[in-house]
Amino acid sequence: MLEVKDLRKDYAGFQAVNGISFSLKPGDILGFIGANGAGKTTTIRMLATLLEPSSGTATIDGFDIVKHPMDVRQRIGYMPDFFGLYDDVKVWEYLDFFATIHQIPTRGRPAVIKQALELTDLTIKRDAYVQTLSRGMQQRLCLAKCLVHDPSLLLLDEPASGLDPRARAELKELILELGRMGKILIISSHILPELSDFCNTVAIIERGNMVAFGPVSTLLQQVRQSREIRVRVLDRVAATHAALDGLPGVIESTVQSETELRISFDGDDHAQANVLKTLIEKGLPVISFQEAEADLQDVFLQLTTGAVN
Amino acid sequence: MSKLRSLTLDNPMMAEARRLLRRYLDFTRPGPSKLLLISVGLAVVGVTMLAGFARFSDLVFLIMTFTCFLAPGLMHGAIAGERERRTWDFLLVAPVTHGQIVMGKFAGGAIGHVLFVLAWIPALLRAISRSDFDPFMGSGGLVYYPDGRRFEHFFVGLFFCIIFGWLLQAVTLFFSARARKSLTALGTTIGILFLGLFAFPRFVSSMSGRDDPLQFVLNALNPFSVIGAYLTPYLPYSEIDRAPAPWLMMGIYLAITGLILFWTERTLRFADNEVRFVPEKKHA
Repeated sequence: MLEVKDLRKDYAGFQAVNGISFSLKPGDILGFIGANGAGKTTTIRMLATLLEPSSGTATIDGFDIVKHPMDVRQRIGYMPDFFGLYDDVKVWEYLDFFATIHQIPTRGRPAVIKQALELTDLTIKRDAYVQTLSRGMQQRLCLAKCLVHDPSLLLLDEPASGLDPRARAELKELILELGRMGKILIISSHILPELSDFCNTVAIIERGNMVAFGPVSTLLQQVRQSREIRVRVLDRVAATHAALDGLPGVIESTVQSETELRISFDGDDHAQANVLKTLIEKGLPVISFQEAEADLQDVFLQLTTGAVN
Repeated sequence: MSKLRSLTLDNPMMAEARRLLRRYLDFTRPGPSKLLLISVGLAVVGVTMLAGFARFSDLVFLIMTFTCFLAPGLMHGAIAGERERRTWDFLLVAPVTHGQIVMGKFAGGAIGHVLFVLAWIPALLRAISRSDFDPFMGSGGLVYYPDGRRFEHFFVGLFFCIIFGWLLQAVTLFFSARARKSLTALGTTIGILFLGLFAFPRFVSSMSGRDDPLQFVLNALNPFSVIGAYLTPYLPYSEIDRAPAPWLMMGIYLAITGLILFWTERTLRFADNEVRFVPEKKHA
């Protein structure tokens, strides 16, 4: 369980983080969104005990990041936005080193390393030198390093940056699996469409202030008061436009092209089904009838002003 | 006592020593460190072969000269290198104290240095057991060792080299903790050595006489003078016959090493993107 209360970080002259509060429970995957300089990394580094908050605090499984940093460090895995690896060490040696400094007993280390390698799909690279790994594999190795001590909170700062599409897809699967394992994940990223694929909660931060926090679906509903439905027809677009007029829930319909219309809709799911049923009953050649979903990018753009610190 | 135990026996960062030894002593690994190991190995073998003709004190000077470069070379990247590689944060978020990090880093280099000095034992033994006649001293054939003091000279020379190396490593570690770049730490340490062991003594010597108290202080500060005065007290040309006993200085060096390590630990108050020479705020 993570509880963040009025966390604040002041530097000389400006507030990097201005009293943010939220809580997360096991299995939550939080997408931490904000422009460059918004305060994401500062927040993550405070939670990682790398920076001391100016005021406020956070507790991880009941341990305060300021009062009990050692206990907190046993419970967190931190992956910075830019990181390096030791030269001339093999993958298993790298993990063995971090397992050692996390005080995992010598006897238990091989099993822990094996598990972390399996989870990150690096078993085949166990004896490879870390500098020979691809960027995606190094990213996964860093994640494996974060997992050797079985933390309850993972702080991943831009984990997908610099990865190719395949590596991103693999990372996404891994993050979902970690969420299923009951870990709390906080992921900062600029790649909003991808975040919506695996995050169940979103926090948007701007100039150190939290402007939105909650489940992805709730935020999407907040930003989009009415739904938008796209209808494609083979032909007879004018007849379709006329048929939509006055149907329950339809606020307005506009013709987009000779085969496409867009409906602004504020009815419920039943009303939406009724609209489709009516079009079919009238013999109109509907090819597709699809609700255009708002995405995180819409949410982000609507809730933020673009101002930076 | 428990604090001391947490810094030594119970210190998980002692894994650093294992990592360092693996890096330098495993010949199956790639990397330029093998070149260093091979060079040291060849030097040790070569000097051992010639040691029967060398003076013991010169051999100790040789080891100390190597140490002047090897100790900073081993230690300059200990913390600054972590920052350069961007691995420093990984250590700071691990459940280890700053003291444990510093001791772990120091132990890695210290064990490496002990192994380096121990590698010279065959050469030192050959030199110390040679006949008393010194072929390089011309017709004099000086009495080289006072009776019954060979063992004492051997152990003092050996331990002096080890402790001198530890002191240098602690100084380098301190600069490594303060610098952004490991080369800065290396350059600063070697620069200080040059000034302290060569330039400053030369300058002061030119200003003072042999019996000047200042010269004695200078000899005390210069490890080469201290060990030289002890090992070659009977050489007529010696200019360094007035210096404190090496046992005393070894104790002082160990105390200074401890103080520097303590100070190094006190400076680790910032994470890798907040490096300041004088930290203003308490971080990490």
